[in-house]
Amino acid sequence: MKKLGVLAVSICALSMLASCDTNSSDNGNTVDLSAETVTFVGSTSVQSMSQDLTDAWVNTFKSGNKPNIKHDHTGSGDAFKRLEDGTGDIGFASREFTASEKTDAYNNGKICADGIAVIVNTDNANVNQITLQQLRDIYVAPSAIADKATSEKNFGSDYSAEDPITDWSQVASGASGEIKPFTRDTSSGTRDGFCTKLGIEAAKSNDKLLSSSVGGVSSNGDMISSVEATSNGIGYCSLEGLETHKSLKTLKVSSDGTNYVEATVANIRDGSYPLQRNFNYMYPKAVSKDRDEVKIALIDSFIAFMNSLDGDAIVTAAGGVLTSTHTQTYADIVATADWADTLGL
Amino acid sequence: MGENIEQNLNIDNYSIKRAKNKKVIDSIVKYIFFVIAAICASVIIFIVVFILYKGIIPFIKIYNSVDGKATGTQNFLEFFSQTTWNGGEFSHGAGFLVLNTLYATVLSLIISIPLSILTSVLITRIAPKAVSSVFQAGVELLAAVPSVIYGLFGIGYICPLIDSFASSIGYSTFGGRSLLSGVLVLAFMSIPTMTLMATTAIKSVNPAMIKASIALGASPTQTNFKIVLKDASSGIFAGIILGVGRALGEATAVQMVIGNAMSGPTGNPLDISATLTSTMLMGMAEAQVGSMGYDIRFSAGILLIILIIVIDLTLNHIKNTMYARRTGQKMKKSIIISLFESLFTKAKNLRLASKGDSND
Repeated sequence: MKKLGVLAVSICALSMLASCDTNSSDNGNTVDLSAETVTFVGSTSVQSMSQDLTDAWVNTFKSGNKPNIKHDHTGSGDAFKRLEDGTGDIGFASREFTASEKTDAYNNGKICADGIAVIVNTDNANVNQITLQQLRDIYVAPSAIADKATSEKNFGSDYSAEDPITDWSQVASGASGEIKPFTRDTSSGTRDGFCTKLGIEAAKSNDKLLSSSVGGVSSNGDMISSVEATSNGIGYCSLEGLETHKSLKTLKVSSDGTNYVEATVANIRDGSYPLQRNFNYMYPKAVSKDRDEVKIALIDSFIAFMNSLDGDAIVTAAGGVLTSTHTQTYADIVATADWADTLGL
Repeated sequence: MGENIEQNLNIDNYSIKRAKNKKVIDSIVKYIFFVIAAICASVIIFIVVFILYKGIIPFIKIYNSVDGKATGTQNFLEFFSQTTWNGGEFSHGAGFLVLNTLYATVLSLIISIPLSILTSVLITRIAPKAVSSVFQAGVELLAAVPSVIYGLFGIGYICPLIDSFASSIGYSTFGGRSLLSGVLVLAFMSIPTMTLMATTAIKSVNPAMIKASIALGASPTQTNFKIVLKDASSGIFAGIILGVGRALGEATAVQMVIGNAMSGPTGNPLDISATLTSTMLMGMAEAQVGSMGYDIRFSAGILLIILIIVIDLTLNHIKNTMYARRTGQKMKKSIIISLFESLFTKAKNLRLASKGDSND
C-alpha cells in the first residue's frame, strides 16, 4: 500500500513538471503561438470566405509556430453576442451592425459586398428570370396588402400592391406547378438583406407579413438543400459560397421588368444587381475577457491580413465584391506594425 | 472456568466494537446517499425554476428592440391566441404550436402503439427462440440510436418517399417536408422504447395463467389477446408513457423534416407544420441574448413543461387504475387527482342536496 502511494505521488509530480510552461515571451525566445486559439464566429454566409482567409493567414506564420484556428459560425446575431461573452475573437455579420452592437470596446468594418441569389430547382425548366415585383407577390401575405391603408402601414407608401402569385404559370409561360417559397428565420442577416432590398423591410422580423404557405429553413446550407429537394421551390441565399449545384440554378433579377441582371461579381460591383448586402466584421480593441496581449496581437494581425492586397485577392476569389481596394501587401504591413513584435514576426 | 469467561468477554468486546463501527458506517453511507439524492432531485427543480423565471420575463419586462428604435412587452393573451409564431419583434403566438404538438403526438401514437404491442407479442409469444432473440437485439439497438440519425433518415429517405407519394395523388409538397414526415419519424423513434417495455411486461405475466388458459381450450391467439395483454396492460401502458415523452420532447429530428411552418395550426398531414420543440430550436443560433426573441423561447419551454406534466399525470392515473384493477390492490392516487375527486364528490352531494330540497 505504501509503495503504491509513493508511486502515485511520484507520477503526479512528474506529470506536473512535464506540463510546466517553459516558453514565455520574457525569455526573449520566440512566442509559442501554437498554444493560442483564435475563434471566428458569426454569420453562416461569411463562413466559407472566412475559412479561405484564415487558411491563407495561418500559412504566413513559420511552420511549427502557427496559431490554432476555430470556426464556429452560428448566425449574424451571434457575432456581437460571442465577442461579448468571450467565446469568440472575431465576429462576422452579413448585415449592418445595430446601434446597440457598436460599443466602444469593438472596432468594426466592411469586408465586401455580397449578392443574394434567388435560387430555384433545375426541374423548373422554363423559369430563368424574375422581377422584384413578382418576388414580392410570391412572398408577401395577401392580408398584409389587403387595402391601401394596411399596405402603407406595413411597407410604406411606395409599395405597389398587386395580386399574389401562387403558381409558376403566373411567372413564366410554359412553367406550371404550385410555388413553394422558402425563407430564413427572422434573426437571419440574409433575410434582413433580402427583405430590405425588396422594399418589404418590416417583413424581416414579422412572419405575419409573409404568406402563410412559406416554409422555414434554419441556415444557408439548409436553404440550398431544401430548394434542391423541392421541384417547385424558390428561395434566397448568399451568392458567396454558392458552388455549382447540379439541381439548382440562379435566376436573373430585374428591378423594373425590362433589364434582367444576372448575379455576377461585376454586376454587384457596379450596382446593377439589385439584391446585395455587405459583409461586416467586428473585433475587440484591447485586452479583455481572457484575451491576453498575444491574442489581441493575433487578432490585429488577421485584420491587417484581411485588409491587405493578399486578403483582397482571397475575398475576390471567394466571390465577394470589393468596394474599395487596399494598397499594401501583408508583408509591408508586418514590417511596420507594432503587434509584429509581440508575435515575434 | 475463569479463563473461559475471560476469553468470552474479550470476544464480546471485539464484536461490540465492530457492531458500533458498522452502525457509524451505516449512518454515514445513508447520509451520503441522501445528499446525492437531494442533489439529483434539486437539479430537476432548479431547471424548472430557471425556465419558469426566464419564461415569465417577456410578459413583465419592457424590451428595447434590436435596432434600438422601439420598446415593447409580450401580451399575455396574444401569446395564446396569435396564430403566427413571430408576428413582429414583440408579438409571439404559441397557442397553435401546442395544438400542432398534440396533433403530431396523437398521430404518431396511432402508428406506434399497435406496431410496438404486436411486435412485442411476436418477440415473446410467437416467434421461435432464435428469431426472437435477433428481433430483441435489433429493437435494443434501435432504442440506442441518437435522434439526429432518425432526422437524417427522415430527410434522406422518408421525405422523398412522401414527396413521390404526394405527387402520385396530385398534391405538391415542400420536397416531402410535411407533418406526415414528422409523424413517421416520431413513430419510428418511440417504437423501440415501447416495444422493450412491453416485452418486459409480457414476460412477467404469470405462466400458470397462460397454461391454465390453454388447458381450458383457448387457442394461443385468444390467450395472447385476452389473457396476456390484459395482464400486462399496466406495464405496456408504462411503455406508452415513455414513448409519449420521447415524441413530445423531440426537437432536432422533427425540425429537419417537418418544414417549419410559421403559422398554423396545420390540419392536412401533407402540409408543413411546426411543433413547440422545433420552433424553439429554429433560429436559436441567430437570436440575440437579452432580446425578446431569445427569452420567448423559454416561455414556449414553460408551455412544453406544463403540457408534459398534464399528459403524464393523466396517463399515470390511467395506468394506476389499470394496475389496481389487475391486482385488486387499492389504487395509489396522486394528490392532484384526489383533490379533483373530492371536489367532484362535494359538487355531486351539493347537487343531490339541492334536488332533495326542491322536491320538498
